[in-house]
Amino acid sequence: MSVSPQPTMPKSWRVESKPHKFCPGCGHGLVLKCLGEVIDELGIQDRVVFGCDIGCSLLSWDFFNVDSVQTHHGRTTPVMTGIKRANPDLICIAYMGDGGGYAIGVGGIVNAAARNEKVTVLLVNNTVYAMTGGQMSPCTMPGQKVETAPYGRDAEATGMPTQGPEMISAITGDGAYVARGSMANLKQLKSYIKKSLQNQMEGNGFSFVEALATCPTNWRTNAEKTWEFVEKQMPQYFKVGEKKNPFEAKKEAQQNA
Amino acid sequence: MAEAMRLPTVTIIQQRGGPSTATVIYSQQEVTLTTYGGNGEGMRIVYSTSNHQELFDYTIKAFNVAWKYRFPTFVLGDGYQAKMRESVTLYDPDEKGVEYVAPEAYVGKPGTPGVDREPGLYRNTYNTEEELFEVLQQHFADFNKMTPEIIEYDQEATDDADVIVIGHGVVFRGVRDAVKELRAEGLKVGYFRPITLRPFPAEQLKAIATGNRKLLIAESAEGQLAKLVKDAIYGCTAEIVPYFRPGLGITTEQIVAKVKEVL
Ligand SMILES: Cc1ncc(C[n+]2csc(CCOP(=O)(O)OP(=O)(O)O)c2C)c(N)n1
Ligand code: SF4
Ligand SMILES: [Mg+2]
Repeated sequence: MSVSPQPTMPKSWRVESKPHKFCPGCGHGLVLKCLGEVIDELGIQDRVVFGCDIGCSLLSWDFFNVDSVQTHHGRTTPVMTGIKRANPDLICIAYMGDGGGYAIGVGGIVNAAARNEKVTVLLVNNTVYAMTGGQMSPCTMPGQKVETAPYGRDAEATGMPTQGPEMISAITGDGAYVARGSMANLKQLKSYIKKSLQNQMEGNGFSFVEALATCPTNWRTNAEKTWEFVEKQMPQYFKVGEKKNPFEAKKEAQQNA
Repeated sequence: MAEAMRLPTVTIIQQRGGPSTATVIYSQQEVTLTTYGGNGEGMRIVYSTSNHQELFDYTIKAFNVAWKYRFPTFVLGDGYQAKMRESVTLYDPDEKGVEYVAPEAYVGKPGTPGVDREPGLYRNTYNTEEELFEVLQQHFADFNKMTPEIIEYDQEATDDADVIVIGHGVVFRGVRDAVKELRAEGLKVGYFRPITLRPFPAEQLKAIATGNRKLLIAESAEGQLAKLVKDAIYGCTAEIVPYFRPGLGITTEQIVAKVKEVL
C-alpha cells in the first residue's frame, strides 16, 4: 500500500512556526494557505509585508517568511497603509477578523477604502469574536446563538450582520477590487486573493477580500455541522462573489471600444 | 504599540484644558497622559518646551533621540505655544552641525526573508507572562542606561535659596522672571526647571531638595508636575508648597506674590 505524501506547505510559510497554533478545523489556516500559495505563485515573498490584527489572526504573527507586523486591535489597515505609503514598492496585506475589521477597526477600513489606498485587506469572517471566547460580532447572524446572545442574535435589538464587501464596494472609487469568498470553495477564494494582490501590484486601488471561515471551537459544532454552517448557512446572509473587479471592467471597456 | 515594539515615533502634544473637550486654549493638564499614558509601564521620552525656539530645536532632537534609543518620544507644548506668535530662528540642522542618527527600515530590507535573511517579525502580544516579563526587563534596563545620557534641566540661584520654584513649559518663563525680580530684591530664591519630564532629572533635584527649604511647584494643573517631583525626591527633607492653577496661565507677578507669601 502506498503512503500518501504529506501535502506540501507553501514555500513562503515559515517552517519553524509549524504546526500552526489554530484549533483543529479552524478556517484561518486554510485562508492563510491560499494566501501562501498566491504569494508563491506571484513570486513576491521578498516584497510582501504581512500585518495581522488582534484576534485569532494574531497567531499568524510569525506564520510566513515575510516581514510581519502584529498591530493593535483594529489598527492593521492604517498600519499597512502607512508602510505602503512609506515604501510603495512593498506589497502590503492587512489580515484581520470580522470583529477587528467591522467593529473596532471600521473607521480605518472605511477611510482607507474611501481614499482608495493601494493595500490589500483580507478579512476572515467567522461570525464571532473567536479569540475572546465567541462573543457576538457585527457578523453574527440573526438567531445565531453565541456567548453574549445565548438566545440567538436579536436583529431588532442588535441589527443585521454587517455587509462588508457591499459597503466597501459602495465607497471605493474606480480601480478597487472587492470580493467575498469562502473556505467552502478554496479554489475560488484563492483566485480572489490572487486578484486582490495583483490589483495592488498594478496600483489600481484598494483591494478587499472577505473570506467566510469556520470556528468550530466557538460555534461548538462537530465536523459535519461546521461544514454545513460555512457552506450552507453563512451564504444566506453573506453572498459569495466579486463585487467590484477592475480586471473585468477593463476587459469590458476593451470589448466595447 | 510604539512602546511595545520600540518604534521611534515622534509626537508633538499641545496641551488643552480638560477633562474631556473642556477648553482649547491652554493648560498643563496632559503631563500625566504624555509621560505615563497607556498602561503606564511603557517607556517614553518627554521634552517640555517653553518657547517657539525650543519647539523647533527639540523637535529635531526628538527625532534623533527616538532613532538612537528606540523609545517613543514626545515634545510637550501647550495651547499658548501652539497659537501665539514670537520670533524663532528656523535653520537647516546640517548647517548647525546637528548630526542625524541614521534611520533604518523595519520592513522591506534587501533579500528574500527566510532565504537571504531572517524576516522582520514584530509583535506586541505574548503567549506567556514570563515572555513578557523578560521583554520588559530589557526595556527597563535600556531606559535606565539611557537616562543619564539624555536628562535635561535648568537650574539657577539654588545654592543658598530658601525657596526653589519649580515649573516647566511655558510656566517656566514666569518662574525665571520672578526669580530674577526676587533676587534683585535680595531674597534668597532660585528655580529648577525639568526639561525632560520623562526620564525626570531626579538625582539633580534630589541634590537640592535638602534642609528645610521650600519647593514651590507652579503649574497649570492640579498637581501633575508635583506628582513627578514627589516621586523623584522621595525621602528628601524639603517641604513641598503647591501653587496649582489647573487650566489657567500663571504670571510673573503671581509667582512673585506667592513666593513672598511663603518665604
Ligand atoms: C483595543 C482592544 N480591545 C479589545 C480587545 C480584546 N479582543 C481581543 S480579540 C477580540 C475580538 C477578535 O475578533 P475578530 O476580530 O472577529 O477575530 P477572530 O478571533 O474571530 O479571528 C477582542 C475584542 C483587545 N485585544 N484590544
Ligand atoms: S477559536 Fe476559532 S477562530 Fe480561533 S483558532 Fe480556534 S477555531 Fe480558529
Ligand atoms: Mg471573528
